This record gives sequence, structure tokens and C-alpha cells, in this order.
Amino acid sequence: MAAEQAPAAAGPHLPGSSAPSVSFELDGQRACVPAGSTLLQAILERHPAFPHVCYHPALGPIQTCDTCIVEADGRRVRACATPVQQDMCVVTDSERARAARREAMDRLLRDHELYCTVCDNNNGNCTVHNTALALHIEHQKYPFTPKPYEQDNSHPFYRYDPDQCILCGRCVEACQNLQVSEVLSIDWERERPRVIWDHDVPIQESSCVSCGHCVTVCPCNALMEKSMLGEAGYLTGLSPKLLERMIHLTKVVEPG
Amino acid sequence: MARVRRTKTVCTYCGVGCSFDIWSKGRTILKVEPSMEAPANQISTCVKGKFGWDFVNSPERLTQPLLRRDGRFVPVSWEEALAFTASRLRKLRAQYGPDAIGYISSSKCTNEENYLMQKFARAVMGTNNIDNCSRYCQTPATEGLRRTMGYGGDTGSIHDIAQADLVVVIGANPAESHPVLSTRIRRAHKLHGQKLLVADLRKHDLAARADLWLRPRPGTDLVWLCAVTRYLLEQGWVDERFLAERTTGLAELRASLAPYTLAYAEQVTGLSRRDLLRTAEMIHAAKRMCVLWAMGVTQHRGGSETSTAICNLLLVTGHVGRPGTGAYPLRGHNNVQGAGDMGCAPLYLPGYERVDDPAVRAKYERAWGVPLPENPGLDNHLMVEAIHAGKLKGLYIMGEEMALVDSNANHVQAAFRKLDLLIVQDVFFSKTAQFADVVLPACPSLEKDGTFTNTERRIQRLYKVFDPFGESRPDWQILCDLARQLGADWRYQHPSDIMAEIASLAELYRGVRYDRLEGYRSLQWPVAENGIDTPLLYTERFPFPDGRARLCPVTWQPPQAFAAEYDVHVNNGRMLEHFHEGNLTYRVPGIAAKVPQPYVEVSPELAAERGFADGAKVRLVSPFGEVELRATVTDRVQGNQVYLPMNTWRDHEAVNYLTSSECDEVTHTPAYKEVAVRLEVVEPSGPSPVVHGNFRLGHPHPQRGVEVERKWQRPDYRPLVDEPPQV
Amino acid sequence: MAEPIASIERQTPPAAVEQARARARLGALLAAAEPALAEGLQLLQQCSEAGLLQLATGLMQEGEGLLEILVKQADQPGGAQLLKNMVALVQVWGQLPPSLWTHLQAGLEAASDAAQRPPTEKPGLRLYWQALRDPDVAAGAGVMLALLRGLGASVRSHAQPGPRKG
Repeated sequence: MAAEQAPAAAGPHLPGSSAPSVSFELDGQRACVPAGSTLLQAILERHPAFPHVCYHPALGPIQTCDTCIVEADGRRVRACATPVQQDMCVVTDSERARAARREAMDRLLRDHELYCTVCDNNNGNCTVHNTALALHIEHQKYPFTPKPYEQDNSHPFYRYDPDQCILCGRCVEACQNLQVSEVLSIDWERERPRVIWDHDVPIQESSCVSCGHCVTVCPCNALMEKSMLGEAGYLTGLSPKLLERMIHLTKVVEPG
Repeated sequence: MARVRRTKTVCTYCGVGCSFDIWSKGRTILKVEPSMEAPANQISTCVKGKFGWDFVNSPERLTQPLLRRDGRFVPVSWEEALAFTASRLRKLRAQYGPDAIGYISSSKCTNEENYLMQKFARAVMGTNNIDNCSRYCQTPATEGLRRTMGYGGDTGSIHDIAQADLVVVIGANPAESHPVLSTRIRRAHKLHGQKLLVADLRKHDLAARADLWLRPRPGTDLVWLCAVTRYLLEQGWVDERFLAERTTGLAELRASLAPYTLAYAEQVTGLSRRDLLRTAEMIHAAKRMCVLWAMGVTQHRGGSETSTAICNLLLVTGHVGRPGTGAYPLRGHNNVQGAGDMGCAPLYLPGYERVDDPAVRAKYERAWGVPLPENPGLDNHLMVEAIHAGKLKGLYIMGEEMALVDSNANHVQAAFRKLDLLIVQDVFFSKTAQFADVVLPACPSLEKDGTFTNTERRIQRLYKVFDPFGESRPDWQILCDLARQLGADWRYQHPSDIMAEIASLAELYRGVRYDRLEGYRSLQWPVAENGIDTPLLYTERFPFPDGRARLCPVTWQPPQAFAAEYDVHVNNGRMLEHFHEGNLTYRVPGIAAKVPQPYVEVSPELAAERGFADGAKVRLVSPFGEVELRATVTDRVQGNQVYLPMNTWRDHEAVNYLTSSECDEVTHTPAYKEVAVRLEVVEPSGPSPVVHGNFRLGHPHPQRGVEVERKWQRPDYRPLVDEPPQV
Repeated sequence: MAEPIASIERQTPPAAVEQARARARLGALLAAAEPALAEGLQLLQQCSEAGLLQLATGLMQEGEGLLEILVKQADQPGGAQLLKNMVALVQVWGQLPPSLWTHLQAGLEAASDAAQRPPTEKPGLRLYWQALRDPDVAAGAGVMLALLRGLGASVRSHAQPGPRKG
């Protein structure tokens, strides 16, 4: 992992733990957390809507999205990967920290076509949508550009839409280090990176065991259960052509 | 989304007991959504739990009661079916006595349903002839645990397994049988330095990753376990204090282990001295060890003895009663633990109290208001024998495909033909139902409320997602209807009423209440009156009068010998994609497309020797029957050992036409793993049965994770964080 | 004594059973909701007489076709901009204090009254000087000036440098 080695994600938090604690300063207030906590864990306890996209409690810090950046002792760091140190001085609402988080989100949206109004994943728990809201994104800095890949619909239960993929890597982490079937990876060296199965074969031809971890952790609609498509959005049952026009229109009207 | 409902349920596909929300609209399942709150699995699932529920809407579901009439099954109303069933039961009992009828409960049904089934058998019908299929799998382990430690359940939780320094897996394939549990082992092994020791005939997922993989001769695990235990004692590599303060019987154990020298173990098991020593060293080096085992241990004639040997090893090394340690016989079904807890056994009432104990019987007679039978009844194995002997005339089977999952299927089906009355209650028209006189349509888990108890002794609530399909009814309701037809005053309105009664009688469940199990909350028994549960057993004492565990000498049962012509050994077990004989999973189109049928795994050596290739059709013939199906050639198996999955309902390929009626002496668990056949080549080649879409054709791509440093190396990446200060 | 029978008689299709149950449930619901239903029926009757029901039915039947027309319209060059402006307007609306509307409303009411009465005074500069000394008018003028000031400031800050007007 990166230079900032974070503690690995623990299992369910055991109550009544007698682990030592650490005290530090968070936005001018004194705060106390169990030793080994990361800044993000400490912040989320107090502000559950604090932006973060790639971090997941079952997976630990992944550090691909950069949307959780705060200032710790004057330096910009990823909150997810920074352990809380005694007497650390942390500022989340400085101009520099805010600007970094905004920029990070803008970069994610370059890889994601926004059509939340009509999206099947927008049921209140879409991480990308909710984080964009939390960051008050009104104007998309980098226009979305489509990826040079087709959707992969080969698997009977789920599909991958590269156009929607923000390359957060949650699916890869889940497959490599939680399910540990070690099927998914991101090919970072390509012009336009994407998630690949095995050494880049269609999903149905890969060693995917269909466990579902990747679809469960995907923070947007890039990886979706096929049974959700066209069923859960507000505008179920419209003809695909009409839906496409609406997506196009929404894309024009929504931030961007 | 007003129309989308989210309902919590507990999976029915294995003993891990994953819980998650089902998102649904009308009768359509939109998705399965696990969350961090789920106590056993958090966000993890496997193919069956995440994608395997389409069967609830299958047009093949039983929707009406059926009666056998003039050589046909005819749909009838519930009134008629219940009246018929009650009347026939009454007549049979009057003519031959209550012990002429047997009752088979289901490890897939809820605790409440299991409780009612044994109450029906005992309080309404007057017999202790009640059993369930846990006898086919983990009863030997339960026996081993009860002998040595006191409780018949896993000693800790999945979390403990993840925390261990050393995980030993014997005769189990968690990657395919308990997938979510196996993820914790793989993760700990890959990321946190956990050591893995596997003993198995077959190169399965964990065996391929293991730090040490033992491949002993079939059925010889007890020998190497005893040899290693003896060696550890000899070296003093034991927990002296634990032995002195918390156990009894060390001297006898030591004496009984004398014959198990390393040389003897080498000779019997085929393992090398080096491997045996390494095993001992790995165990010695571990501060926290968990031993997991399953059917490779229990489904042998010596299953109870081997399970006891495992417990002895854990006690001698002091790996019991501490976090990250313990004994984990992996329960295969979602409610195998619960079926046993609820007393669906010929010798036990709920909570494992004995039926032949007058005080216990008195308690239940008071509670149920009727006299109760005092002689232990017949277990499922003995029931089959009793049918053949003409002593058992009737059988009531709930949620069990006994015609295919019992060993020696020909023998069992011949018995069914002799019954005067067979009542089958199920979700689909099973093979077993073909022999019935009346078939009652039941509801699967998604159509009822109740609780299951998983392999962690964890009791969890499931909530009704859909209304019953057609005229099917929840099993608990059918039992109530039938009981009332027979004159019993059963007035349960909801499964919570049944659990209230269970809690008042079974000590282990004393504090269990539905409000304490709301949402994702769970309780691991024993649960005290005040609701405090017990995630980890034996932290202070063992439930024997002196509070100490009992080391227990064991005797090795060599596996069955077969005539020389049966020279191929048939290992058998599960596949990831399917559950049991597949009545549910083959009705999920996506799963059926990936694995449309089972196939036998054959080693390259054997295929070469017998002159056939991948895709060949082979016939396997045992003294008891035969099967015919396609083979795949793989190095997952070696030499003369083949592997035949049990996942099929089709007669020509069902493994139990090959198995015998031999069983574990103590528990009568069938020796499913002691099968020998002769192999005949029907077609030397053909289309591979491992079809496009089967994950075993793929090639994984292991990485350390997402490897974000490679993103940061990209020329178009400008960092948003500041460099860390130079140290 | 039973030989296995591998097939079963065709069962009543679940759909028929389900329909029967649905009818039974519906019957129960109807009975329970009788008073509300009676009122509801009256309302429907009135809507029908006013021609509203016909309009609604027509719109629903057009359904997707109508939506298609709307979308097509909105998709015209000015359409997206119009929608954007509407969205922006609603957003701004949401941010203004409610008291402002109260004041505006008072102003509009006064203007409305005045518009209905014939003018009583001769218009002239003297009238306006006097009016400005009226504290209410002065306050109103202040608001108008602030509006001009804010509008102008925004225009100037976004203005592209262009040919200077003489």
C-alpha cells in the first residue's frame, strides 16, 4: 500500500474494549478515540455524512478516490489512511482541504455519466450520488468522456458498465482481499483504465464465483445486479429509447 | 421508493447463517443486500445467498395438497388432505401402536417448526421415533464434543476463526460448503499471516493455499491425530496448566495413545514422518489454534471417535475457552444446530435433556399436559431397518429428500414401498414425494417468520418477504392444523408464541425472545434469562459436575474393506453452486446454466490408465447400485480416488445409489465416505461436463489489492496530498 | 404399499387461486372502507361532470407518447436552457427569506388598489419630492435602489471586456 500505511480493517467492533485511547484536536475541539483508529473513522463518528467514496469498513482504506482529504498538522492527507496520533491537529474545513476534496470529486465525475434522476441505483444509498450532494457539486469541472469499452453483460446475474465506473477499486479490494477469489483487478497502465476479470476476459468466462461482493460494494451503478436494471429507478418500464433521451436531457440539465 | 420493500431474512443454503435484506417489488426479487450489521457475514455472500432465490416463484412449486388415488396424485383441498392424514394416522396408531410411526423433521426448517414436529410426535402421537438429517452429518461431532467438553456446538464464532494464528481444516471444503466462512480464513491467511494446515484427499481451494497440506489415506485421520497428540505430549509441547486445572483423564489418555507412534502413523496413513513432525511443530508454534472439520471426518464408521480425537488434541494444547481458539465442526445446513437443539432426536427432548430421565419427562408432561413415552425411539437409520422388518408402518417426513440423501438409496426406496402410510411435506415434488400417500405443500423461508440457529450457535430471526405461494402453508401452520385435527389444543398464533414456549422449557434458550432478536440482533446460546448470551464457550468452566473437560481415549475404526474388483474410491460432497440435491438451485436459471449437472472428477493417472479423456461417460458400480455420468479429468484428485458431488436429483447420477448402509457405531451416521466402485467406460470421450460459465475454467489473477501506487505513477496523476515529512 | 408415481395431476394454476384470494381480500377492504368510499364516489362524480376525468384519462392514455413530446420539446436548443433556468430560479427562490415576499405582497396590494382608483393628484415633480419625504416611500425606494445595485454589480463582474461605448 501507500506510504501512509493504515491499520487493516478490523472485524466488528467489540464493545467494551479496553484498548488504549488517543486524544487529538479535530476542528478546534478535543476528541478521544480508541488507539489505532484512522482520522476518517474518528470523523465519521461525529459527522456521518463526511465525504468518502472508496473507503468501506469491511475493506479498509483503498486510497483511490481522494475525497476524504483533510489537513493534519498542516499537511493534506487522506483521512482514511492516516492513523490518529496523540495531540494531532486536524482541520477538515480549511479552504485547502475543501478544495482538494472538490477536485477529487470532480475527477471521479469525469469517469461517471451523471443521470441520477433516472438511475436504477438511486434508491437512497448510492455513495457517489450522496457524496456529490455532500460536496455541493453544482458545476462539473471535467466533462464526462465515454470509455472505449462495451458493457459486459455475459454473466447471468450482474453486469459491468465501464462508462459508469469511477475506478474506486472497492470491487477489486473485495475480490482480492475479502472474498479472495482474486479475479478482479484494475489495469492502471491503460490509457483509460478499467476493471478486468482474470487477465481480461468476459465475466462469464472468468474464475468469478458469483459471490456478489463486487456488486454489493460498488458505490454507483457500474456493477449492478441484473435484477435491479429497469426495476428500481423512478421511471421503470419506459421504452429504452425514451429513457436514453431522458438520460441525455438529465445529463445536460444536472450539474455539469 | 414506496413500492420497493426491504425485508430481512436468513439464508438457507448452509450453516454460516448469512443474513441480509431482500429488496422486492410484488413477488419480484430485486436484489439481496447484505450490510455491515449482519452478525455472521457482514457484507459477504456467496452465489446461492446473493443470487439463488428465483425458485420461490418457480411454476413447479407445490401449490395444493395432493392425494394418491388410483395410481395418480390428485390435487385436493386442505380440509380433505388434513382429514385424510389425521384419520390414517389415528387408524395406524390404533392398529399397531404409537411406535409403529416415525417422524422426520428438517434441518432446513425453523426452530419453531422443529419444536412442533417433536412435540407432535411425542405429545400428540405418543412416540419418541423422531429424528432429523443432522444424524447424516455432524452428530458424530456433537457426540465428540459432548463427551469431552459438554456442549454439542461450536465453541466460538466465525470471528474467532479469523483471529486464530493457526487454522486446521480436516475433511472439509469450506470454500464450496461454507463460502463466506472460508473468506475469513483466506483473508487472514493472505493479509495477516495466519497459518493454514489442511488434511484432505482432494486439492480443494484451501488445500492449494495451505502452508501444509496433508493427504492421508481415506479414513485414517484418527491415526495421525493421535500420533501428533502423543508426540506433543512426549515433547511437553502442551498447555500444562490448562491440563492440570481444567481437565481430567490425562493419564488414561496418555496410556491409550501409546500405540500411536509416528512410525505407526506413517504406515497406516501414508503420511511422511516429516509431515507429521511439521504438523506438530505448527501446532506447537501457534498461540491460538482453531480446528475445523466436516464430513470427511464424520461420515465414517469411526466418525465419533475421530471427532473425539480432535477434541482431545485441542484440550491437550489448551486451545479451548479463549478468543481465537476452539472446535468448529462446520454445520452444513442452515438449521442443523437448531434441529438438534429442539430435541428432534429419539433420545433427547429440547435442550438435550434425555427422554428416559423421569424428572425431565415430568417437566414436559406438566408443560404439555399429556403423558409422554419413556423409551428412546428409533433414529432414521433404524427406522429404515424397522420398515423392512415390518415393525414401522408409517412415516411423516417434513422437508427432507430421504429417498436420495440417505445412504443406500435402493434400500431406502424399497422401504418406502413397504409403508402403509407416507406423509411428505415439502416445497417441491421431490423424489421422496413420489412414494407418498399424501403430499402437503409447504412454504420456503421467504414466506414465513421464524428463527434459525447457525454453526456459531447463533439464533437469528427471519421475516416474511412474500405471502405463501398458491395454497402452500408454513410448516408450523400445517403442524398446528394437523395437531388440532387429532384433538390437540394448539393455539399458536405466530412463531413468537412457539419460541416463548421453547424458552420456558429448554435451558439453553431460556432468554430467547423475539424482541431480543429484532432486526439484525442475534443471540448465541446458552442464553440466560436476562438475555445475556455466550459467544465463547468454556471461558470459566465446562458443564460437567466438576467443571472440568474430559479427555477421552479413542479407538480407531478402519474404513470398510471392499472386494478387490471395487478398486476406485469415491469421495463425495458438495459443489459451490448447488445445495443438496438441487431442488432449489437447479430452479435458478443462472445457476443451472453454469452447472447444469454434476460430473465425476477423475485423476489424469486414472484416465490414462483406463483409456478415456475429459468428457468421457463412465459408469460407477458398487455392491449396492450404480450411476452413470460424464467425467472431467483434473489433478484435484489423485490416483484411484474420484470425487462425485451429491448435487443432483436424477436417479442415474445420484451418489447414494452407491453408498452402503454401514454407519458410525455410536450415532448411526451413514459412512458416506466409505464407498468403493468399479469403473466402466461407456464413452471414452465426449463434450466436457464443465461447461462455459463454470468458474473452474477460469484463471485467477492474484494481486495485493487494487495496487493504487500504480495509479499514482501515472503521468496524468497530480497528487492532492502533501508529501509526508522526511524521517 | 406405494410404488413411486413420478408425475402429478395438473394443479389449479396459482393465478386462479391468487385471483380468488385477491377478490376475497378486496371484498373485505371494500366493506371496511364504506364511508370513505361513499365520499370518494361523490368526488369522482363531480370530477366527471366537470370534464376533469376525461382530461385525466386522455393524458394517461397518451402516457408515454405525451412524455415523448414533452421530452422532445425540452430537448430543443432553448429547451434545456429553459429547464436549467427554471431549476436555478426554484433554487434561488428557496434561498430568499419569506419576509421579502410579505413586503412585496404589501407593495403589490397597494399598487393594485391605486390602479383601481383614478389619480387624485396632478403628477409633477413637487408630488415626487413630497413622496420621497414619506418614510414608507423612502424605504421602498431604498429597496429598489439595492435591487439595481445588486443587479448592476453582477452584470459588471461577469461582463466580457468589449468595445467601450462612447
